[in-house]
Amino acid sequence: MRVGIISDTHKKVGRAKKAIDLLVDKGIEFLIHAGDIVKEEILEYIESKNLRYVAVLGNNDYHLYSVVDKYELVTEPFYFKLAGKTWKLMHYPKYIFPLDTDIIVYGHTHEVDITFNGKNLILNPGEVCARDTGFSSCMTLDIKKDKYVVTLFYRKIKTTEWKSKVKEFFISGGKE
Amino acid sequence: MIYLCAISNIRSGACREDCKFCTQSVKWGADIERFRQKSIETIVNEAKLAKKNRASGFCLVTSGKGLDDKTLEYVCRATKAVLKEVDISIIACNGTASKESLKELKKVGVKIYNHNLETSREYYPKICSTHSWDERFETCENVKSVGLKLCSGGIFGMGESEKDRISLLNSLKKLNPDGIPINFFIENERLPLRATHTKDMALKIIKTFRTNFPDAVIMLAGGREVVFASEWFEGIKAGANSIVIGDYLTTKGERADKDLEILLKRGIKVANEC
Repeated sequence: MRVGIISDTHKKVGRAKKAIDLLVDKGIEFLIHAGDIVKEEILEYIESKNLRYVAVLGNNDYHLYSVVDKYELVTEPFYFKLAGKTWKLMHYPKYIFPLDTDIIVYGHTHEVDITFNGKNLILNPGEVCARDTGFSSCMTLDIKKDKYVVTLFYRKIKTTEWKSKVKEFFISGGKE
Repeated sequence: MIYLCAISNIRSGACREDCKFCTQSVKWGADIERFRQKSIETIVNEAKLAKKNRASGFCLVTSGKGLDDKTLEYVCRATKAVLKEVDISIIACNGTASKESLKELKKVGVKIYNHNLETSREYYPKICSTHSWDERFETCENVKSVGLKLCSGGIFGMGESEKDRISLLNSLKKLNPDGIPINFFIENERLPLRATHTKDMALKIIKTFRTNFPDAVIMLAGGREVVFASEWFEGIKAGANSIVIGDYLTTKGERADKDLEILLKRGIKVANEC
């Protein structure tokens, strides 16, 4: 299964749409937004793609509490199951610990994090809004029987080309 | 229960990296013993002695940035030779390493790989300019990925801030290591750093790590004599459950039999396996 992950879109609706379009093009079956969505328009755009998705409310999303019933919005830490894995989704990194699910997704720092400790996969797709780094980024996660494949996509703002980096992690340690 | 670990410096000095805490870097020209390869026979004898001193882990350390083909071959040879004669867990500490090399180590019987993050990601550029902290982190990920046990910690008292120490702790929490060496910087007149640790700070670090890593082996490693002098047992009371016995890489440690005596006198059990 291929899952798309975005975070920290903030007010940059155009950049969010570009990232979502890219992920849809890459064939994602599920989309995760790790918070600081800010603009309801972004949720509307995700809905328009007929995608299964979940979005966690971040520290800049209090105004979206009024529309929690309209979208797949959750509060942190949100535990769920997908593709045979247990997940924990949050905006604030403080909920990373304890490492109690297979996959842990967070945002807020605007910094990419792809960590695998042999058991837990910890992901932060960085920032769609490109506020801190000048790069808009998002990622896909392929969950295969024996491995995770994380592909980070990043685009310098005001350019159209997405570049990518791939990291593979074998799930059953030592059997690679 | 205490785990004892002995270190064998099987290749010393001649490292081209510029880590400011390390006497093995050629950049600082510290007055240390330098040699290319310790003989296999000597390594095996050291392992026998470590076992006699109740060490459950025997750490084969090579200087240099990472595990290249030659180093890998040598460490594999040393591991096989030790395991043939001594029942002890082999810990390899050979710098940055690929998954492929780590798999080879695992194949010949290495049980644990030690690769410290040393300090926070933010402070590391002030400590070393020749390689990145991210490279260190990646090696730790590789260790876990191939199914070896990971031993990873840091050095404290190098001028880092409290924030740096918390950042290091959080990075280690992500890696979830099996063992965490807590080292305190040992000054050397040729090194550019001056120690900034105090005993209170050391005790606080150990306590914080124990709280955050209830199940890990927390090792009071290099510099314990500098920070605690003869009162190193306070570090054990604060939460450490492992010590390095004998000498460190380039500095003298306490006599192993003396440490062992202190532990046994206090009724502490010494683990046979790690």
